[in-house]
Amino acid sequence: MGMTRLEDWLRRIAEDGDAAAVDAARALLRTDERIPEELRYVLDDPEDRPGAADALLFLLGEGESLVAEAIRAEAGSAMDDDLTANPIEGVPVADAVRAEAGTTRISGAWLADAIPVDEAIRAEAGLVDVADAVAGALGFGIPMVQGALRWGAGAVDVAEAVVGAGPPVAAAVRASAGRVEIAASVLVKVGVDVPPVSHAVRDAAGTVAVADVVMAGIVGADLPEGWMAGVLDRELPDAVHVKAASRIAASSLLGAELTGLASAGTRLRAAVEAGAGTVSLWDGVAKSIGIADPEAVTGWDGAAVRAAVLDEAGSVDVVRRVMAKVRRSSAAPSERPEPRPANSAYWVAAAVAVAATILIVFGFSGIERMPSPGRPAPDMGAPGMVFAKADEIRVDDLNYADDATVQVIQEDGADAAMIIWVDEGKTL
Amino acid sequence: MIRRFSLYLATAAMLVISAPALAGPPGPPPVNPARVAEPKEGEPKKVTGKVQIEILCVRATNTTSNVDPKLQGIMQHLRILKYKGFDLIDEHDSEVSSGHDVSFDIEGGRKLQVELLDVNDVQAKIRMRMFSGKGSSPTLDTTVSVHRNRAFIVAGPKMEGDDVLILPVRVKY
Repeated sequence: MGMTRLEDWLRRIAEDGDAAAVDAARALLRTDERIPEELRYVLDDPEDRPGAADALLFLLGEGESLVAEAIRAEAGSAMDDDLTANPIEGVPVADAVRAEAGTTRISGAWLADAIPVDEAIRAEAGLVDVADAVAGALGFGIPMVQGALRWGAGAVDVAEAVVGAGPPVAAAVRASAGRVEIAASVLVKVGVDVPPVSHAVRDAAGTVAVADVVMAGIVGADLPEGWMAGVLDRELPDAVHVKAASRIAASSLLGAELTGLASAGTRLRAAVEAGAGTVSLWDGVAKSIGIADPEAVTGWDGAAVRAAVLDEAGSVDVVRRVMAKVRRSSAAPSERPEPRPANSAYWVAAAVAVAATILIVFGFSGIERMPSPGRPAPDMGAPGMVFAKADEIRVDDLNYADDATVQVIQEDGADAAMIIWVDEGKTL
Repeated sequence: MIRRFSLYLATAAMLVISAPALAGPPGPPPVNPARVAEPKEGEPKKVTGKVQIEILCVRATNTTSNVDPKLQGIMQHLRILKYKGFDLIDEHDSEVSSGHDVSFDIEGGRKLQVELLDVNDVQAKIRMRMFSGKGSSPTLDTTVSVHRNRAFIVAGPKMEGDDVLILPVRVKY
């Protein structure tokens, strides 16, 4: 099979650490259906990209696992002496885990169903295919080892071989690790001694604190609380999401639980909507937060607003405008002419006219039309007062008290009057 | 016919009787108490005798917009004082001769003293002093030369609330 572009980029990253190839590889990885979805974002984590690229190449069937190469490089063909010479008690990995976990001997039976050691080691070490071998050497549960070996080695049932540490296990490891010539000897010692494996894992994974990873797997502390919901809601960081997804993929129970959790929200939402209908929740919320009257608005005074509007607008006279629109349906009745009196005396009219004339004539002498110098103004009270214009009055002298202020005001216009304004009790 | 004749007669009578009134001014004016001295050529003529000092006491307020009907003739001068209502509360009238003074008791315990300093046929010179009643020194002491039969206004003394007193003053002779 020829190499595709993704494999080219991944090889560059794995071998040369080519940073320029990372973006291209990430873009292709996102849409490559050969890669499990939870692993399509492993290159987003800048830590150990070469290891991740190598693992991805292995998934794609290209290249060899670094661990396998490390095992071959480390183990070589002369491991028997090492294996026999180093009992399990002296295994560095076992010692490290034991140092972390204390003196408690963790039995494989207890951890059989719960310890995702394989995923933990794989996540830390970068798809170390011999993780199960290590876990098995440390005495952890067999089903996990079986599952890990199956995952790493393909459809090889090596459970019995692992338990019995027989040749089938060796074959499985060989299938997983590639040309690991010492697989058999290594796997023979799986149950007793694993110094080459430990070295290989350590060399491949670098300074991996396996103990921490294993312990985290033991107590489930590597994933945050509520991680399953976080997977559904995409709230987990990418690395944690990959870890969680891997765990779910490996466990049918977890998968079923995840499916149920995903559908629970939908069922719950539908039930609430069906039950609540179109209910306004404000009244209940208002009362719950201490608002006695949900419709009341603090500081609002409708009466004050009305009074302010009336004060601003003033009185509105609509009568004139209404009457302008009113159409009278009939003409106003005209006055009926008065009948002419039969006993009218024309002499009476003449006498009245004469009397009026006399009154007018003799009344002229009491009316002063234009007062002029030399003639006193008639005593007519206020209506008869004529105010001096500006050229008819002059203030010759003006004094006032210390606690008063006086101003002389002259109006404008032809009939302007002079006003002497006294402001008592005020000083300038 | 008789009817028409009566009407014509009444009309003619009206015309005859009113002819003098329509033709010219009425007869000689009333007796002037101030005798006019013989003036020099071009100079105002000295006036001897008494003149009449007339003072109105008007209360200006903003608590009401009622205007005393007696003040309608001078409202055009009172409106500039920015008050809505005016009430004529008192009137004072007294004669004074040249060199003498006359006092008026006005609202708020005040006293207005008017002294006639000089008078001729054109104008009168008066000294007006207003005492607030709190001390012997006047609040206002002014000397004004005002044309004959003309008026001016003294205003501003405070009354209850925010009301003020307005005093139109006229010298008549």
